[in-house]
Amino acid sequence: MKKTLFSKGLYVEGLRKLRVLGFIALALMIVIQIAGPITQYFSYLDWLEYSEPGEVYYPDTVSFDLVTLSVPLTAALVTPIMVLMLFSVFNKRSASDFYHSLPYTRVCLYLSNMAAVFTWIIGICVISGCVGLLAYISFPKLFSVVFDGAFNYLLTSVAFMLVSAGVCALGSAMTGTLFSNIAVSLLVMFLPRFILTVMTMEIGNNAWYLALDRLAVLSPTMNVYVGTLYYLFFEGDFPNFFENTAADIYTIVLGIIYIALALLVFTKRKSETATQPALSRAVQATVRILLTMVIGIFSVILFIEGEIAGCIIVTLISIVAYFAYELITTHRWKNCLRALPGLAIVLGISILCGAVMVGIPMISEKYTPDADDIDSVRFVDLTDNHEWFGKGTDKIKFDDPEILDIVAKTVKWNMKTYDTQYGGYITLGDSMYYTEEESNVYRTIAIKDGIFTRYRNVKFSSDDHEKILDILDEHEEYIKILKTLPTPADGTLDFYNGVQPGADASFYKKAFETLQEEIYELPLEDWYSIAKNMVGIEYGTSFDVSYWSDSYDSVDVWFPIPVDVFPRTFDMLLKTNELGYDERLGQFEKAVESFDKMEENYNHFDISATIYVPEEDGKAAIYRGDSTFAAYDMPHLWEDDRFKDGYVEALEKAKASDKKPSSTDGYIYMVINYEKLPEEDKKDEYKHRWEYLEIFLPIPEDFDPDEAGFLRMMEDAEVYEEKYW
Amino acid sequence: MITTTNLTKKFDGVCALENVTCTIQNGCIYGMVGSNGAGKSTFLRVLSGVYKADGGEALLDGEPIWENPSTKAKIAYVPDELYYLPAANLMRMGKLYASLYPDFDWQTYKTLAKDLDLPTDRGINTFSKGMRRQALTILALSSKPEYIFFDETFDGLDPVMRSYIKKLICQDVVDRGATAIITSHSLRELEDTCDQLSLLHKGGLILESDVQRLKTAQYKIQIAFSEEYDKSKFEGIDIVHFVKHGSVSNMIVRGDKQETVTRLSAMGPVLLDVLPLTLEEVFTYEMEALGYSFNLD
Repeated sequence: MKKTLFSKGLYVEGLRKLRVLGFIALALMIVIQIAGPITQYFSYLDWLEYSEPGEVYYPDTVSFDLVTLSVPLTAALVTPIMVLMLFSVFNKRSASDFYHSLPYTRVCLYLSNMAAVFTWIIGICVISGCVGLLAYISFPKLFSVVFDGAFNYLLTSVAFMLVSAGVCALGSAMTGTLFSNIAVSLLVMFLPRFILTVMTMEIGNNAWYLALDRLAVLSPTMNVYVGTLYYLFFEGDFPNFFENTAADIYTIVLGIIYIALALLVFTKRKSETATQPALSRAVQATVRILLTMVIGIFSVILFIEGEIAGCIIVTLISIVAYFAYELITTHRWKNCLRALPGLAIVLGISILCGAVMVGIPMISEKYTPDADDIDSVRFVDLTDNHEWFGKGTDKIKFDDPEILDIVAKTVKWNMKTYDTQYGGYITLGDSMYYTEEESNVYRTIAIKDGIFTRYRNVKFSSDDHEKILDILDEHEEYIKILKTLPTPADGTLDFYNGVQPGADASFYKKAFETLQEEIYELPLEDWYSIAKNMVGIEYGTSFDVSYWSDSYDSVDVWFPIPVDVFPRTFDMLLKTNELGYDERLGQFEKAVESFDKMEENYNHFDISATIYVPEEDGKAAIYRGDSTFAAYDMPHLWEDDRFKDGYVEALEKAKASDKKPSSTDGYIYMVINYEKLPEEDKKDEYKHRWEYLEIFLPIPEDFDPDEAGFLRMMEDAEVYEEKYW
Repeated sequence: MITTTNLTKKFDGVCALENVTCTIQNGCIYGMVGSNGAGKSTFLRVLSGVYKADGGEALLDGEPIWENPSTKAKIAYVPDELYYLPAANLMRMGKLYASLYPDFDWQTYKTLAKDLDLPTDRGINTFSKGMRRQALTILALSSKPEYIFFDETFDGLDPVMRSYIKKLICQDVVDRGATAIITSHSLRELEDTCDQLSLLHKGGLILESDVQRLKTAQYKIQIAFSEEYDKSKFEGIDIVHFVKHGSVSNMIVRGDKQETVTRLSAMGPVLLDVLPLTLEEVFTYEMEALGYSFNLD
């Protein structure tokens, strides 16, 4: 047992061999982990120096992934280097002979070495992760650590570790030089997903009706390692793997398969493979062919697209790559000649790929079932992991004959006109369809037909879609899911624009409950438009709600609360704005009265203000801006020196009105352009932070429009900014 | 006991070992000679479990060697191409061997390192080729294996060190009853050490015999007669090789020495000398008799 599966001696030897790299990686990861807290600590010291007595420092909320950033970094970056390093000894003939002559099986050699790698990786992750965690939780004044999603995050890290270890072990087992180790590892890691993605994109381009994005396994992000790089290169961002458990599990399973496959290959690997580019001619040919296909696949696509000249050029490049790999790895011209027959296999694979890319749309195009053939339909049109609307409804099956009938007719119509850009009217059965894009509604549906489920992007006519919505509106389970808002995560619920002080937690809860009640009462079509952000809203006639959900993997929920759609909620929110309105009006009056004095000290271009004046019809007139903007809002006060007069007039109007502002944005405020302040008023401690920013702040209750008053207001602004922005 | 039956190993279609069948008794020192590319290293690698035979079988104490840790645990292999950990010193390598071979004897290691005057704390990469070979021999002997294989082990050693290493190997065989296989392309290196010798040529084992028998089975006779004569005069004597210059003939003869001398004396020669053969000469003539013609070194 001991010598056939695992050897402590080999394991310890593996640990020793990796110690230099291991300690360097550990040191680097610890530095990465403590860099954030240290930087923040110095900022805190800075704040302490300049803060006023009684001021409160609000800690940063940091998520678990930031606190333990070193864990996925180590798993993704250090693991492959360690595996390649440890297994590269088998690239040297003397070393390979030495290890294979030892009284251990190849399985034992492999498992002991892999165990050494995993020990280092887990050790670095645990130590650096704990250091990071300690560094953050040791400063509760500076940080508030949120542990939500920690399990998924660790699962992703395990996926990174296993898949990168498996791929590199496989690459090393299959080949006998460092160059080929790396080349084959890269091929194993990226090629299958690359070919799949390219082919999927090509199929998707030619057959928009195929909802290929519904087949999660086709997505590059299913492999967390490939997906991360894909996102980094093509999206310039990191994907949110830490919430995609399916991708984590898929990648973990893939990693285990690669590790097992590498074990199998390693046991078959001969010691004489050392210094050879591959363990056998067949493997060498396979690698060469697959490498060629990286380029060759594009010549197939160009051929399908009818770009013959481009196809010829890319084909020639792929042939050069084919022979170049052979030459680089074997250093023998003669082998290029021997590799010649392999080009036939490249051609065969290319034809196969081409057949798949052309054949799938051709076969799919023929799928136009009758309503009787369809068992059920699901509406699955979610395009984004972050999209909250409709979550949970995609599992509901509809077998309403009218829906099935509409779907069947629409699929037939779509397939008849899928390549028609300006088709005009088309008659199908009793219905007439118009193909102009604007009049149609695109939905993604899953059609259950016997044992098969087919995902299709379907272009419904707006009439048919309305009919479907009407039917869905009657579906109790569907409506309940669709109209039930995700539960807000603690402390994330916010209503804006501008809920005034006085809105406490119980108010928020009540407002949310009222909103939910109104949603239940709303016709589905209206709710669909609101949730999908398809309605135009006049400025000032809507609040917004925004929060992170506690369910559905913390999706970001946001939608507007227009006065005409959610009147009760709107009124509730507006009432908070009315609280203290008179006081604020008084403050504003004091400010306006002091404009002359202010202008002695400051250029009035540096000052702007906003006031909302209730009109007779209950709507708000919005007066805002500096001298220039004021002129636009009040054409009769065009001249700059009458800037103040505009506000005086607005103020008088507001005071005379017995109504409260019905605008959502009743928050009176002034804006000071700090950049334009006289140099002597620019305190250094503000300058480094706000030199290029405008400061938005409420007018303080004790606003004194002299020079000292402005500076005090700016200090308040700092607190304001720290707290809310 | 090591037995190989029709052992065959091929590389890219080239046959490095072809149907090698031999038996190596326990407690003997088995020498294997052959020119470069004869298959000696391949033979040892198969016996060490480094290579898997493409045909035939190699058994050690009746057990297969390939992927058999319990059998491989009895073996220490000192290859032609030496391996040591990067930047390792002898002590580090000692620890490595100690962790991999349960019977590793630190006392033997210390004694041999001291006797050979090898610094244990200096990087092996600073050692000369001969010193590296000594270092690896120390490690192999300290592992106390039942079977120890040396591939071109005297390469790069000075004459004094060569005889010391030979002495160490012999001592190990005598003291512990170990079995050693030593390969070399030079027969001179093996003739005073080995109990049994074999000759490998182009992957095939073409001769195998114990040294004593080889040395005594053939002898050289220098003979001259006053009258004219030719080879037919010696009919009935097993002559392996015959050369005549003038009236003097040199013969390599097989068979009972005393009986042959008595018979030749009866012919009334004017000159009759019986000379011993070097092992190299025995091999050369044996090969000639088998139809091979080449120089062993």
